[in-house]
Amino acid sequence: MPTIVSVDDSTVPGEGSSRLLLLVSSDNKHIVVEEDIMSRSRFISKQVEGFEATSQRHAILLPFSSFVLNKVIEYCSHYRGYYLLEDDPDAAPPGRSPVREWDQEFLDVDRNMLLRIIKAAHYLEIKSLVGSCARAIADMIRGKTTEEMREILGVENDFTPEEEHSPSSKCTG
Amino acid sequence: MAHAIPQPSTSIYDLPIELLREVFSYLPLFSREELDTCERYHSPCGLGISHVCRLWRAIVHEYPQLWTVIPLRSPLLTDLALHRSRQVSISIHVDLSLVLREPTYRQTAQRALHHVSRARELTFDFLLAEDQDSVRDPAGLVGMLVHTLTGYSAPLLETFSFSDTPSFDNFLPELLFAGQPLPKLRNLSLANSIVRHDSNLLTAPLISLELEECAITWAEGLLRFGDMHDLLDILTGLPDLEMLVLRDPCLGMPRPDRKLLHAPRSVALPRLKELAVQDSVDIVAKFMSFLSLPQDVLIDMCCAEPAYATNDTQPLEISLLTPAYDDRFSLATDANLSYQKLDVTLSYGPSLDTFMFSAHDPQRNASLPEVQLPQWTCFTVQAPHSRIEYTADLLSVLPSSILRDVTTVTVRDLQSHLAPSSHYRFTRGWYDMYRGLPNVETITAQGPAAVGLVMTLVAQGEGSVFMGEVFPELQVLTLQLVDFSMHVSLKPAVALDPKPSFVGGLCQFLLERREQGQSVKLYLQDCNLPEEMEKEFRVTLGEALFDWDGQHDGFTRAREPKAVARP
Repeated sequence: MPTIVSVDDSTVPGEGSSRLLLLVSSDNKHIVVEEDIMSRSRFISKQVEGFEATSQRHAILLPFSSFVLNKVIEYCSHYRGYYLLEDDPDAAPPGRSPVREWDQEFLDVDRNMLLRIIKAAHYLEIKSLVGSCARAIADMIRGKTTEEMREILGVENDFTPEEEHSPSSKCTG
Repeated sequence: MAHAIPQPSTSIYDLPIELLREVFSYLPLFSREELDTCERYHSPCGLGISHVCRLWRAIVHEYPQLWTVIPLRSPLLTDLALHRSRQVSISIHVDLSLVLREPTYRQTAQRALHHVSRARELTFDFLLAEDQDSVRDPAGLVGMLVHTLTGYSAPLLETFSFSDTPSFDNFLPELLFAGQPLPKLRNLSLANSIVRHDSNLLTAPLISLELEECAITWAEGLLRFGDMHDLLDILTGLPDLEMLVLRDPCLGMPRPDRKLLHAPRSVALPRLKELAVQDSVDIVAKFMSFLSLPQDVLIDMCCAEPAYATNDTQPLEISLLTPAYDDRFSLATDANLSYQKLDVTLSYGPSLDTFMFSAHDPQRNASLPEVQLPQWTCFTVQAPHSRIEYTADLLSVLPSSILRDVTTVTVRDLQSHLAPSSHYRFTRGWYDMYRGLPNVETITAQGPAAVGLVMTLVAQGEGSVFMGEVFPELQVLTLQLVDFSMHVSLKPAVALDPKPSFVGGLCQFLLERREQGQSVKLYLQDCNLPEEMEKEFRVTLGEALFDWDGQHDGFTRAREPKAVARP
């Protein structure tokens, strides 16, 4: 759960449809962003609904660094006003995310950063970004051998020798 | 103040299970490509993720969505996938070439088809057959396998594809999917197949329909191939179509006297985004004329010559597929004719607008009495110039939004022996057609009909229409194989200023452009320009306006115009 702190009105002015939100990253950076941009995040939307219910506006503390948060904001800014089926809470589950060229460039980052972004997107409930990150991670290990997959994603082999070499597991996964 | 928040870890281990599942969902265990290439009993590549660690293996085993593409080359994996996919909808891709070659594969495929009630996608194809034409199925193995589908409904089916080979004669079973409706079927692709007109496949709410070399049968005890009204009737019931692809779909011309129950003469496909039609030009033109399409539809037409071959000798020998028969010729009631293929002879009648029609069934050695046709609505004109008119028909049915974007027109291989009296009709037809092409910048026209393309048009003695009105944007004009000596006297009675001829009209057009500060590059290649006319050209047009190809060195490549000295 996010930690919530009170914010006075001068910090986060509310002006019509372009109200601002204050997001606080885990490294205690304060980032002001238009509410409209972050509306793609179901988590943020729910927080904002909570503000409206209590007539109090707060900063939203998020458990990831400003570097990651800024990447997420960049994503949301790019798709501001765009309809993405995956992010429509009323739409039927669309299955796998489509390939979007811009996303591929946007997620051309190292493994650590990619994992941070997908966790942040998951936390913020931005399904389109989760899907694009998942595809990017899958692309990293697609067509690779088991050993290469372990190496790429830093996974330890915790099988016993018997488990690893049993004929049935070879065949059936 | 904010509380301290722990730094996030970047290890893959910290990803929650649902995120790992999401990642794995992009790595299907049995992708179609892998199924095609993996050797039998070998572990498909996608399964490698289950060998990485215990956690991943557990996720793979417990996540049904990863097992939804059912492999058929290994009975063990087939059963495993059917089991582990639980009740999630599945995809079954059957390679018919393996059905013919491998008994085990055939049995495994049959076992998988028993689960078709939860299939979302079902395809039959010849993936590994190098030459489909050479594939034979004397034992009817494919038919037996497909017959399995008659025992089960498919309420979840969204995509169905059945691609037979030309050498087969496979009817899709009448009670496919137990004859039950297919409420979710959206994508249907059939090739080399025969399907009943009332098949549940064709009454589903399709958004994509692809037919290649398919025939539609009717339940009247008589096979009726090739009448496009059959398909039009079906399309009437598919208003949600977004993509329609017809490749040699045995459309044929509509039978003129046929009494149709639905009789659609204009089929509206308001949601269509993509239309591809491949057939002979006359059939495509006629088919298109029945469709009412949105303005922004993407049309891809691949048209061959008309369904019958024409040449300049008479009578015309024509081999025609069965759409020719109908009540008019009493063929439908003549049980001695099979109508698979008729040899049809068309010859000129007493006038150009009438034709003599006779048909012979070589299989039964039965002939029909010769019939004189008036201008037959299906084959509008059976004269040597028919190609011109059909081409015009084809363009005339295209949406104007497409025509407006046309900047280049190439007309080739037009008939060269036209009776002079026919020219006016042609030129009128050309004019009507090209009036819808206001942005044409380049025209290359070969043959005498090029005259109709560029000349000042004579409208039944009512006046003249100059090509400048038709092609305001014209910049390059190439005329090839135009016999000026013939066309100069086309209609001398009508005064066109400065000359009552094609040449005169052309000169006037070029002069007008020059006066307006524009120029049109004119290329003449292999044009039989008489000496007097050549002089006239040079005097009228002056230097640097056209290139006179005195060498007659071919017409395949346009050259840069060179200055011509004023005599």
